[in-house]
Amino acid sequence: MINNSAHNNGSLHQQLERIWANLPGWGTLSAVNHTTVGLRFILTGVVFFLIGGILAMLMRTQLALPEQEILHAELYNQIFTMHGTVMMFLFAIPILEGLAIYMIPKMIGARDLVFPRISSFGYYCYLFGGIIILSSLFLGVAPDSGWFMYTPLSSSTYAPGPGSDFWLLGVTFVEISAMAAGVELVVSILRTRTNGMTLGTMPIFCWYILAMALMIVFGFPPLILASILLELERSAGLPFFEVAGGGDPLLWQHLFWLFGHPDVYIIFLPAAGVVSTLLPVFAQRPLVGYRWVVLSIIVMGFISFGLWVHHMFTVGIPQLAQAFFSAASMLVAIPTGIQIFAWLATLWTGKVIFALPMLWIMGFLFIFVAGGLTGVMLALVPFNWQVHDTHFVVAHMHYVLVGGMLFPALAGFYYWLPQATGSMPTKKLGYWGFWLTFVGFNLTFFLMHLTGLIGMPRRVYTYEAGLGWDWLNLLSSIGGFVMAAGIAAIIVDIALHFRFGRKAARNPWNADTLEWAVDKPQSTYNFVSLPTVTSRHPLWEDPKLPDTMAEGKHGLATSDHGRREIFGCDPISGRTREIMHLPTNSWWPLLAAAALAVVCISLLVRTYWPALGATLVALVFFLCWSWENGVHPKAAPIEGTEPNDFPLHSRTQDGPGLWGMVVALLADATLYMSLLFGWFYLWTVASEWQVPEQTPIALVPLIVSGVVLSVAVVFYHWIVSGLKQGRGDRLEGNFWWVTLLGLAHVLLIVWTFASSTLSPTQLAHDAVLTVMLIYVLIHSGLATITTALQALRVRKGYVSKALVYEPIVLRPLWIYTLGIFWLSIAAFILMPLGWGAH
Amino acid sequence: MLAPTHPMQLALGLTVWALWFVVWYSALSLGCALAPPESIGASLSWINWLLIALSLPFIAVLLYWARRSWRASVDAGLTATARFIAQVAAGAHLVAAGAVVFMILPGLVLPPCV
Repeated sequence: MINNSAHNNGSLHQQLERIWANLPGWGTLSAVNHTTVGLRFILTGVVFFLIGGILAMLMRTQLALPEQEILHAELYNQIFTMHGTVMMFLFAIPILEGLAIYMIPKMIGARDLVFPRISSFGYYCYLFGGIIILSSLFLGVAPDSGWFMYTPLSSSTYAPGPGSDFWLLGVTFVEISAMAAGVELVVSILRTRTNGMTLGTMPIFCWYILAMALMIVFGFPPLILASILLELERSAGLPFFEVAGGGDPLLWQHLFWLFGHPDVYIIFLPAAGVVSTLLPVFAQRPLVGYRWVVLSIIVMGFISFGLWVHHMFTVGIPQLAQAFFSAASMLVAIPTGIQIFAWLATLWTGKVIFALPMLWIMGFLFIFVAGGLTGVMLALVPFNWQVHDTHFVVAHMHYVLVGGMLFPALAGFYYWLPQATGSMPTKKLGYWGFWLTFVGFNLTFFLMHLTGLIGMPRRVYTYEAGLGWDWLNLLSSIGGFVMAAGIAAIIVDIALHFRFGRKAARNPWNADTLEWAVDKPQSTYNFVSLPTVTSRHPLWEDPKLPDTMAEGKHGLATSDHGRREIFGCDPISGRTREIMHLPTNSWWPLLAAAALAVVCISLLVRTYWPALGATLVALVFFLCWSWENGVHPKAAPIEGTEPNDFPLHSRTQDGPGLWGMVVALLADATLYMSLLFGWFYLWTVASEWQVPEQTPIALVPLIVSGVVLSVAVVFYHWIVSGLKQGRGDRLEGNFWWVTLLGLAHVLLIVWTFASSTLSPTQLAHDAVLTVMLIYVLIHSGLATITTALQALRVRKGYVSKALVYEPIVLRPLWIYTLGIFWLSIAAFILMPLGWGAH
Repeated sequence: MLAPTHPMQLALGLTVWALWFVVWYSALSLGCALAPPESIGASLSWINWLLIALSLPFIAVLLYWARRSWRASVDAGLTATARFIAQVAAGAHLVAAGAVVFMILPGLVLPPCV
């Protein structure tokens, strides 16, 4: 594997450049490599941040003086809703995903993420979804129910315009992007580290991103489900959140905050990862308490899912349940505290260099600790009741989110700027930017605590003079504009640094991690060769490592095969065990996202036939995309694999596709569990919950379809087990048999559905059953179609008893489909019968 | 049973905590919906006792796992990665047990259904 012919590294570099380059001109839209996609995420996020900031300035202008009429109430409602939506969904999460997409492969010594086309697809979903959401503002029909879209305020009765629809469809579209990044980052961190990088030696940033990605996988599906249900209610009249139909508006709050509170930590964790990465560099010593920090990341990742009800302390939940969530809310301060003490100890024991990024870190420590303290105050139920829906909460939220995310993100931005552009930031303007932002921020939001404590509610467009709020609001508004001047100074600083910035050395901060070993100017493939790493601080251990990597003296320094390749590793030891070949530039992600955008817009304007047509087009694009996989000639030519190489992943039985499938199914299962939660919640809590006297779905054909499905899954499992043991006779025929069984199962469900007496627009009970049936149907259909595709691929020679990778990837989908089918029968049909509910 | 150095140990204790969380909250909600205590404002009703009783096995298992992981982590024959996993897992199990204890404390003084 080691190429010792360093003399030809120039030609090697050129070969790699040719293999990894984006297409020129418009072809760059087909780029899939992580550097390009990550930078696109970040730049797009910055644009959305500026738009969100302008909205904030409009609000502060309106509130600067009492009884102003610059913005009328309806417009103000739209603006505060869009400010929150843009900042949370279009700025904070995507820009951190972009940072992770950009940085993770460089840190773990890889050339790209493991599913590059999914990165690109995620970006386009984000871009199109963001444009759709923002367009509502320019069309004058923006959502106006708050960024949390509480029902019934957002339901069709009180929000009859299309604003809520823009939010629900647009945000769901954007969330596809987050889910894509979540799955991709988990698998990349676990399976594509460079040789020897163990779990215990990988950069601490990777632990943070791993936790963030897993939290996305489990945290976003409840909101995706809630958005689908509310959109179904608004457009088709299914009464999930309407009391009269047996629904309950509080179900929305539960589902929203099941997402919403972990989301705060999804935003905080990567930012804290930036802090844990930068502090050791500027203290010039290893992070104190690496194990403790890893432990606190894991604890935070879990505990943060148990706090959501502290957003709902005033809705009438029993005291004991409130105290339970109050205790959980206080608990989460402990892992945060562990990290803060680890950071302080690192600073205390190091020789701190107060460069510009460190200034932002110090600002973060000050602001975030203050925000954390008010967080503990808000965890106390009686205090929470007192300040609920006041400006105190707004102040707390901004201290946590701006302190906990924006400040570390800007620290990271300045820190990695030379890595991305090759130039150092200019000093003077950067310092001005920091101080203006820091002072402006505290002036705006510290005073807002006081405004809230003396009773000013949030989301009011104006207020009477003489209530004691006047001067506080005026100063807050002045602070807002000072902060805006700080952001402007940063933008000018960045713009000027391209022209006047000092040329950066390869590792200008004397950092310890591999991202500083990439070539200058930056290439699309990161590294000419991939090193063996046995330390948490490879560049401190071996400062010459970047040079030897660039000379091709380490692994994978071959390129004559024409493939994009990275190492595939054992998830624990980091030992290389296969070579992963990655897809090259592709138009499928853009086309698929564009088709989904058409679906989204068609649903917005309630033209359902075009929506159905676009859905089918998107499905075709996805199938074409999946066709160019495995050993398809466009993916991995057989030629060029040397006998002594590690196997290509498409020739193995445990490749990244299987990992991606399992992680995606975890997200899918979370969505299903959310539906199950909704079912039981409405059943036990909704005051007008009604159950039809006769069960509306015929049980016998459903059971028969389940038996057919079971036979299909057992058959498929048998085929795959045989393949793994080297048996693969009549493979194509067997796949066709499974397809036929799957088809029979699907047709039976469709028939059961069509002959049912469901009244989904009358009863929430029937509405939930309808969604359950559609969910099962989609999975069964998908498993059937993809198995048919496998049969065709056998015919083409892409799947055989020597090439078993793909059937193994599909097996968990079949098993999952079987699992949810029988669980649905038990929970949605049999359990109510058993309890005499029908 | 998973070996104390298995990487899934890193998430196991807190996954059990999450399971306990669901069990506790569901039991409280169902208890209050189906059979609220006769004296609605009284603390330490049958629901409180049930919630505490449900929690004890979880605490015991988590503490046992914490001890098991910690003892495994001091084995001199472990690789650095295995020791790292066992140590962090021991901490995670302990935190999970502590979280259960801390979160059931309000149940000792507050009525369940008001």
